[in-house]
Amino acid sequence: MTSTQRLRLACTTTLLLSARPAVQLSAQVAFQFAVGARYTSTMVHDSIVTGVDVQPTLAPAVSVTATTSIQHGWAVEGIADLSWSTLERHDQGGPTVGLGSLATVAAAIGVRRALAPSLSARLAIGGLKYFPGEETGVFQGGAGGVFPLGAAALSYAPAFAFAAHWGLGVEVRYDLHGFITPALRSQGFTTARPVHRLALALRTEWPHPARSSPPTP
Amino acid sequence: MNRSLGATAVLVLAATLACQEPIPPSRGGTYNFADTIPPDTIRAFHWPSDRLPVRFYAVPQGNLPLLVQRAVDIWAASFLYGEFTGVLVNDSTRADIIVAWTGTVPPDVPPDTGAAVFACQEFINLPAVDSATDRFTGPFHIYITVLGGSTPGQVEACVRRTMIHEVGHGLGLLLHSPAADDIMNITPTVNLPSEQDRRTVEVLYHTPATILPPP
Repeated sequence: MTSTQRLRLACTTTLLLSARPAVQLSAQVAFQFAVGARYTSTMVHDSIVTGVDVQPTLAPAVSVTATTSIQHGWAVEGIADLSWSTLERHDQGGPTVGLGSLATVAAAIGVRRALAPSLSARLAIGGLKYFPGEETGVFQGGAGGVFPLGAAALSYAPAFAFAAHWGLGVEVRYDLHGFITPALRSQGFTTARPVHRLALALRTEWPHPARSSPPTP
Repeated sequence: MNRSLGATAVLVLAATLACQEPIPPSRGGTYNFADTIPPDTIRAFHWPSDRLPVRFYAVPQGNLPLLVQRAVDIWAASFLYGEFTGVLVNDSTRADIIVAWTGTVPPDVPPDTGAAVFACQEFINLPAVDSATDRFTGPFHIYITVLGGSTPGQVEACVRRTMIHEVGHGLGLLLHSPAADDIMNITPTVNLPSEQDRRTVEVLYHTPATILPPP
């Protein structure tokens, strides 16, 4: 499977995951679309003569969130998230080398609660899968399947009229998973490395809050 | 609901604690890859990342291009972090490593699966090193010769493993391994690089080179 085919599959998966709650929850569901940038921490740290780190570059990230109406101050959310970047190897005191493209797809379900006017937070759990452009290096022998994921987000929706009309907001997203692959296991790594991801995104809501009853905190 | 939030937070904390920093595996168990010229000159060479992919030219006779491609792929798969990649090129004047038969071109047949037979011979001809720049002055040449008295299958098995051995020299493993089950043993009898071969070439590619590639 080529890099383009993998990305298409990742996009399709994201769309399908985001569409499913809409069918089941019909009019009680609102959608939030977010676009932003994501930082990912070191995925592999090794020591071969000197230190070697493998880390994705800063990545564009898009997500779709389906949110139920508020019940007792809480809303349930289903999140589908896609990001893509270039994987790089950083040799301590040496060069940085590109290792090809890397896409990630994550799906999660969680709960959101309003913390203050315009401010809300979400906790979620789900799974994340990597789609490397080439099955070489650390991805030789597979990408390691679906990694369990814990996630949190903090959202700010400004109260001024334009932002409120279009449901605009800013969101900081954090998630954590453990990363290990068959190739790493075969070469002596025994435990997964915690990988932290942090994204800053702009989001909009559909239907726009001004045209329907506000479904989100 | 506040209890639910607290429980989720505890779960996230537990997941964090469960994902402790893994310890990199030991890279012990390697053989010497650097050539020492008395009294104190050490020649360590590998292709730097800005010279990848290494360009191989195989004279298009028999299955030589396939043999070279196979050897390059096998070595590339030995690395975790993309330290080496190679590609076959059609123009020998633009190649870093040139591979050719000397004498008879053997038929392309399935390899014999029995015990290793010394049915072929190969050697690598390294170019001179410019002492002013510590740089190789031209492409590497690998030559392969078929010896008489063996079946075509035994020859094919021999040229496959010996090609991996010589391409290993081309990667920078300038010396032979003392271990009989390493592909870089002076008389290779195994069909693939061993774990020790893999560790050694990995360490080589993270060791500062004292010789630079050809310009």
